[in-house]
Amino acid sequence: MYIRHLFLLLSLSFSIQGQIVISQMNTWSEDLDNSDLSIPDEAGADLNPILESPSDFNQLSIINIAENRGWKITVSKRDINWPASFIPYIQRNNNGTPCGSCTGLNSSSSVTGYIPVTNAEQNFIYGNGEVNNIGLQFRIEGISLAVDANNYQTEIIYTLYGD
Amino acid sequence: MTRFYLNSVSLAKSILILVLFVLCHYKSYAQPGNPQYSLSTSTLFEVDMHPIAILDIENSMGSTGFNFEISLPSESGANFGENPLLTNDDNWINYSCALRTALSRHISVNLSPGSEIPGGLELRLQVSHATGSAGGTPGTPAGGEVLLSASPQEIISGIQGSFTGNGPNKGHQLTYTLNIAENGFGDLSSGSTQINVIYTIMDN
Repeated sequence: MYIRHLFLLLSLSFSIQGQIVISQMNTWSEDLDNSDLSIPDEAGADLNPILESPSDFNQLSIINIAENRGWKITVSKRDINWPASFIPYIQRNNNGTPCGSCTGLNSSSSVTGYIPVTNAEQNFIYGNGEVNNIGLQFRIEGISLAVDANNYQTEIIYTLYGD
Repeated sequence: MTRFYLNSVSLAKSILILVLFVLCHYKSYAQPGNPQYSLSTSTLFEVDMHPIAILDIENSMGSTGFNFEISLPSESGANFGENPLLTNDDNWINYSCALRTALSRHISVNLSPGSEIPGGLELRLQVSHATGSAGGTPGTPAGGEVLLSASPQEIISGIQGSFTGNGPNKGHQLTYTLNIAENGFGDLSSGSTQINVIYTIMDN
């Protein structure tokens, strides 16, 4: 019985702490109507072709990772109901905040500026150790009345890998 | 002797399980180039496009209104002239259209209540195909001229998600024609009349 109790105590002390990538915002949603025409409410005008979120609309955090451990984030999309002419983009606006002794985000290796998000994974951000609140901004190009009015959705996926 | 043997087996099992547990803890960190330990999260992008149906009339002369003034012949016994007496093609119809539930839309035209064409005359309208910077699937104009009356008549059909471009010389050109009606010469009289023409875009 003593051995069993010791085993249970040791098990509980080894609580598994896997690395986690956290996205602050679950959804970016835009409604389009007459007021979103390139000249609002003007007959003959098309919709503004570009939608853009506020500059730090989303924050990404990588936590529970050893301070010297390398990692990378890839980005891809999974369409739910999404026209091919709508192109989503993502860009990183800052380096976030590393843990006290962590190297943090590697800006020279990470992508700068907007990149189009595709169904295939693309390398996006590199770093070492925990980093909190990496600012992200979103954009969609190709908005037009040539596309039928509907509710369109696609899922932008951030995947964390050890590096 | 037997009881000691059983305790040794239990202890061995516990140590084995503990060792496996520790290995799982080590393996829970993502390993270099080891994709099966990838972890992910996501953000949903949503674009909700609502139906849009707006139209207007554009004119480079500054006003969509115009005058038809019939000149009197200078010689007694002379005719007023051959049809068409007068034409005006300064106006253009522009529209922006987004469909969600309807399959398409159309545009109809009619004279407003109280607008009457003077006796002996008729007013006709012809609509051109969309020109300029149209996009998407604009509508198709009715073939030929339409005789304007108080009853709505379809002049552009099959409009889908589209925009004509904004301003004169974009969209569909409107050509009004004033004629003497067949056998209408005897009904002609002097005077002036204001006529309002209404354009309506509707779901099919």
